[in-house]
Amino acid sequence: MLKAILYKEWIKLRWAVIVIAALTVLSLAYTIGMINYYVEFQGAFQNWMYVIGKSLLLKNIVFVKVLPLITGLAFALIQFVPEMTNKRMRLSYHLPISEKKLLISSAGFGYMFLLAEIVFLFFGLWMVISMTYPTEIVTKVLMSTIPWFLGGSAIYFMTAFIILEPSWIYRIIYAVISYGLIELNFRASTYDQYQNLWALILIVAVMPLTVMFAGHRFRRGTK
Amino acid sequence: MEHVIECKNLTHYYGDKLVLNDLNLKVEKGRIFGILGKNGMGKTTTINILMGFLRPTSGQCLVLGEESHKLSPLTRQKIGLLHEGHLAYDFMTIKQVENFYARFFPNWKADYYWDLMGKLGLKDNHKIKNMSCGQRSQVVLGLIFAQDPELLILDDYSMGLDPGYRALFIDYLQEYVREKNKTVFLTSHIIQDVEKVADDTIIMGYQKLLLKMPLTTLKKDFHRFEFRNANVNGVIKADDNTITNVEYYNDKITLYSFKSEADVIKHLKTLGITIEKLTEIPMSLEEAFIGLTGKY
Amino acid sequence: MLNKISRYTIILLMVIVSALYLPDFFSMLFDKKENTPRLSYSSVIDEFVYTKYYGMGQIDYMDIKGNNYSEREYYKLLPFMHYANLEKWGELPLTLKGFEMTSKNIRQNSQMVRIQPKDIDPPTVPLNIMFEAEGDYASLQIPDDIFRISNTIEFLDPASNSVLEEKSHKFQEAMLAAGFTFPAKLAAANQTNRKPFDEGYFIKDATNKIFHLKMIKDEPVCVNTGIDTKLKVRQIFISENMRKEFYGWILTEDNDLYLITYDDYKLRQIPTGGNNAKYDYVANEMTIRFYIYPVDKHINISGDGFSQLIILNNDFKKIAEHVETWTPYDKRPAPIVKSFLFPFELSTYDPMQYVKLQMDIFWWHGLIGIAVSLLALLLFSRKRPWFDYVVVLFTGVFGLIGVLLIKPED
Repeated sequence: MLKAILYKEWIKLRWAVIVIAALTVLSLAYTIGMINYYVEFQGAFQNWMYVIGKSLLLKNIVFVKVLPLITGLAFALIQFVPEMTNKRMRLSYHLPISEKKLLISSAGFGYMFLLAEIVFLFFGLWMVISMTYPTEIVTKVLMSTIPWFLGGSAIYFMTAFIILEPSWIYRIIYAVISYGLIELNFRASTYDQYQNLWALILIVAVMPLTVMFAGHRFRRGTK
Repeated sequence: MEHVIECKNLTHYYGDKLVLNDLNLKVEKGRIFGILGKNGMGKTTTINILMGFLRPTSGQCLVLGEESHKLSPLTRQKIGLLHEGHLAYDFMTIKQVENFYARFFPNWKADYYWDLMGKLGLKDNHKIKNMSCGQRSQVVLGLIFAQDPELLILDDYSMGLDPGYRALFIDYLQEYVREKNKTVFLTSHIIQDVEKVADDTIIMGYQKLLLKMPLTTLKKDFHRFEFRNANVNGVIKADDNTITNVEYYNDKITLYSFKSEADVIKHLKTLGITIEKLTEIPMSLEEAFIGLTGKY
Repeated sequence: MLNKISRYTIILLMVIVSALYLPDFFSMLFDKKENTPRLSYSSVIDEFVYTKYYGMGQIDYMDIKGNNYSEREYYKLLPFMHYANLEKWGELPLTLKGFEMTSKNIRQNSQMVRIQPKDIDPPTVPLNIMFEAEGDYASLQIPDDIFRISNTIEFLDPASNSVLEEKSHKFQEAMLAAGFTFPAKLAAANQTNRKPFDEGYFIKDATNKIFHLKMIKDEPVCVNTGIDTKLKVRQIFISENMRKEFYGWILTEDNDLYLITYDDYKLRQIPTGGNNAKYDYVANEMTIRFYIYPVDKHINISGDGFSQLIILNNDFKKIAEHVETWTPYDKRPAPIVKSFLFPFELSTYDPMQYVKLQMDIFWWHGLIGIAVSLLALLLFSRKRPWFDYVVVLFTGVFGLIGVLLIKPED
């Protein structure tokens, strides 16, 4: 049955997955070009100094910040908007599978695809910047991206939650909370500024639980 | 289990608004029930509760012996739902949707589905999104048949269907149900269709159940009488006993009753109206429905 | 059960977000700027003086005895700070306490260094540059390589992103020869070319010895400074200055400060507190400034609600001290009201330049807010799951908002 749910989510997501993967490849290719350009015109030493002292690299890989957000948002919308339009979720909730299992597996599979994208992006970036920069810079840059990935994860779960919630008032409340929870991951201005990242990871880790509440409310007939 | 559906003291409020008041209902196995009710009478609420998408404020609604709002997955397997507007995963194709559902039901009868699809003459990779309402209704029906459930709840199956598909739908349904001894619970805007297909009818009145009986009994026992008398306007009133409903139009008086002509004449006499003979006008189900629930 | 957990998860998330934003928003709306005095010491009248701003050009110039001054008079009291203006006005005295007062002379005999919390252990990339200390040019030349120092010392060539083996080896050998034990625990330098000369790096090795590493004529020069290894060195700040009195200063884990003098790296402790221990320097929270003037030295420690000035003579003997205080943050009206309203506050602000999610609990005040929230819940919204009360008991108004907005589902 889980296979069937994976099948359904895959049917919905496959185009988005391909588009996002393509965007990632393009962005990474762009990064290679951008780094080469800077090295050429600033000189390798000066470029390293800017990267170290002025967080130059961080400011020029905005896509690493934005892609997980776009992906999280897009995946959640693509997965759950069709389920909620015309109350189509009734079909899923009537499937002979417990609604908790259904919701967790639907969101779980979606997140799996998001995670795959994040991992792809992470290792892609690793490869790309390792070509030009030493471990110290690579480590700092990669560490800096972790909160962004948490932000992407947060937007996925919170969007899914908001869509699955049947009442508009609740949706607005959740949207406000979501903004706060997502913004929390984008407060750094230089490398690896976050301390106690585990707290942020914990916050994202409990988010999947919220989805169940929305499912329960739908089943109860909340308007 | 004697009853497929059993509602006890079902009461529901939307906020402060009472929509169902102490409704009791039992549905026997192996019959087709048509549920009728005017808008705002709690028909949709009842269906939502039966389908498990609304938890009643109080009272109980057992479907196949389990409370409808927390059916176990195993019980859900035995219930086929057709949702209002023929809901389907319209991002899937004919083939994908069959593939998807098949994994959930151990008794999946793919033949039923593909038989119906064969008649549609669409390609397997045709997206449900791109189908007409009628075509989609066939897909949905095919899926329910393939699921092979004990109980089918069909909410407003006729909505959006043109007469051809409506007839088709009924033909298939009737054949399927008779052959396999299923219980069907259906609603429709089009009462003639219900009349054609249902064994029993359930009529919802304001917040409660008005009647539940076999269609044949209703047709046999429910009468419409007419007579003319210009002087009794307003004298005859509907009551729980003899006169179910009464209509005045100029000097024409129409009476609806479950009682015989003689009983009605006797009742009129007690009101001071002496009349020798009433004219009985035969009714369709639709007319009987209006007679029972009133025009307004 | 899972539905309940799910609901409380949402409430928990709401509590987190409200605790992050509401107290902050409250402060933004109601907190007023505190007019903090700026404390200085006049070597002319040997008295503490200060200015106080009342917004929009309204400034009081006073000494701590209560005498008022005009702006020009005040500037004249602080000739080492305002010598440029005084010179322009022709009011720079010829000498002060035997010191010849010319702009150039003052400039050459003055120095200012400062440590803020964010300077101590900032989130930087651990890569360094080594200047040529005795180059052929008037100003310091930017090198073309970068080095890392931890388990070894390695110079990297940015153009090829590879290790310069020869140079790395040369430096490593020099360091080992000086008795250095890798890995290095700390490498401190003043990594700018906007300084008159370069003193290279002060490096703490695995055995807590402090080494001084420079590059002279492309050759490494590594010296064991002999600084006591028992000193719990937290950070070293290097400040090259033509006065050549000290290389820089050491901050210890105990918030002590030592100048590393040019006199064979002998340390000279400078006072980090006065008579009242309440105003002693705490590195993670306060800023310390060290002003060296031709006739005396001023140590300024400033924190929340106070500014302390300690005056040393040229022999580092304390000659005066004074503390000016004002209302500290948590005694101001808005923060007090805030601490009654909210049981705690979440913030990611960290004076050390990190983003650190942390909780500030308003203990006793917060309890009152919690009590009011509980009472409100009891009075206006009965028939609740018992755990709702527990939530409000621990999270006050944040939890109250949560349990009221997110209604229980049975």
